[in-house]
Amino acid sequence: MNDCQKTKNRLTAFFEGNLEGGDEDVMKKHLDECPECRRTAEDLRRILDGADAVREDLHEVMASIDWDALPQKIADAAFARTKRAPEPAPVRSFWRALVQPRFQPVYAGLLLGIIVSAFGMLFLLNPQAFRRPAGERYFASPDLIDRAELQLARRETLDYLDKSQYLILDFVQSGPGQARLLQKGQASLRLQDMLSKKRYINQQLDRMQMAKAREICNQIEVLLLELSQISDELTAREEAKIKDFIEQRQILLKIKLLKKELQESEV
Amino acid sequence: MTLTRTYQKKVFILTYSFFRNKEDALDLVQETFLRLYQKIDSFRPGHNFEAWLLQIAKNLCIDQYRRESGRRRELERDKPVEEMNIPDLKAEGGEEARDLKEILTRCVAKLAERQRLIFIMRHYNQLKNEEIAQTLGISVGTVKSLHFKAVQNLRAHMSPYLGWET
Repeated sequence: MNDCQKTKNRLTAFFEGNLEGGDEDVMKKHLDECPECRRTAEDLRRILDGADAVREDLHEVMASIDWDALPQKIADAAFARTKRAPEPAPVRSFWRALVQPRFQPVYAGLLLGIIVSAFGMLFLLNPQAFRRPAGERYFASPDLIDRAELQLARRETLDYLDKSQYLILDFVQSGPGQARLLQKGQASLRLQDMLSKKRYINQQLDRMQMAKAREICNQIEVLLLELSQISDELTAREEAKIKDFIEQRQILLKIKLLKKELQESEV
Repeated sequence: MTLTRTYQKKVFILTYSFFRNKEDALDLVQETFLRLYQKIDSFRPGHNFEAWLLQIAKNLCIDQYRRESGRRRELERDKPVEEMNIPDLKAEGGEEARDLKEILTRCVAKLAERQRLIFIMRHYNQLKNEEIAQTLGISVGTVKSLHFKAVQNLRAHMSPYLGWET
């Protein structure tokens, strides 16, 4: 910082007599030598003189004030302010009166009434809106029903194939002349049951478009029909012919494969 | 009331210097003490009470000044110095001194808020830099710096009308 800048910074302190003796001498010396700083100092001195003059004016104004009365006036104002009770703001108009908090329950009741009335009117004018259509009373989609029926048909067919397989195996594994035993007791009942069941399965297989299963079941039906008509006079040759039929058509193998497919839900 | 008696003049000097209107200044003195009584519980013992009181007064002055910035008094204060009836500078000393006061008062009003407050507190309230720093909540260095800027700006504002060279 050069001398001029340092001088300007300390001019106020200089005029107010706040500089140390040594600093004051340096300042005076610089002001004697530097015309610019001297001019600045002169201006500052005039500003400070002006401030002194303003302060004198200020004292004149202050002399005109009754300072003894002011504290009492302030105390009265403070007392009046604390005395003033916090009153609710006066209602200035009809509309302001309507928005007062005490009317809130009334407005809530009115709103509730409007909502209930609106639903009542809607029910009276359009009762269908509140009734569920007849077709939609049970919440099962047509797709779900189809899948349930398909699953049922598979199980029925599997059951039919199982029982047919055991019957055919009984016949195939019977020795010569033993085939006629199928005509007696439980075996006969099982045959009749299988034949009647086939009629029921036919409908399901047709509806579910299970053509392959239908074809095999038809072949089984023919075979079971043959077995049901076995008589005591069945010759060994005829018995061998039926067994050949089973073997040639690979009926047992087909039953086995079809069962597997049905179990894997591929049919 | 003792508090009021002790400090009322100091508060008045600040408010009057700010507005140059006796009635407004007295109103602000009253409001300052009313605020003081409201907030007296928040004063922390050990702190400078006078600085705290002047801080309340200063805040009220600034609020009032901002509220009235568009009003007549503001227009009057902002009247360009050129429009003032300034006599010839060569006039006698008494006239010149009165003009100097008038120009200084108007030019102080043109200073930035903090510069004006510091100039008023320093030269009208005759507070020390440390006291001003406490009142305004700034450092002594900042007070010195702002005071220097205030003087420089006053010189710049006043120079054209008083024939000073800049």
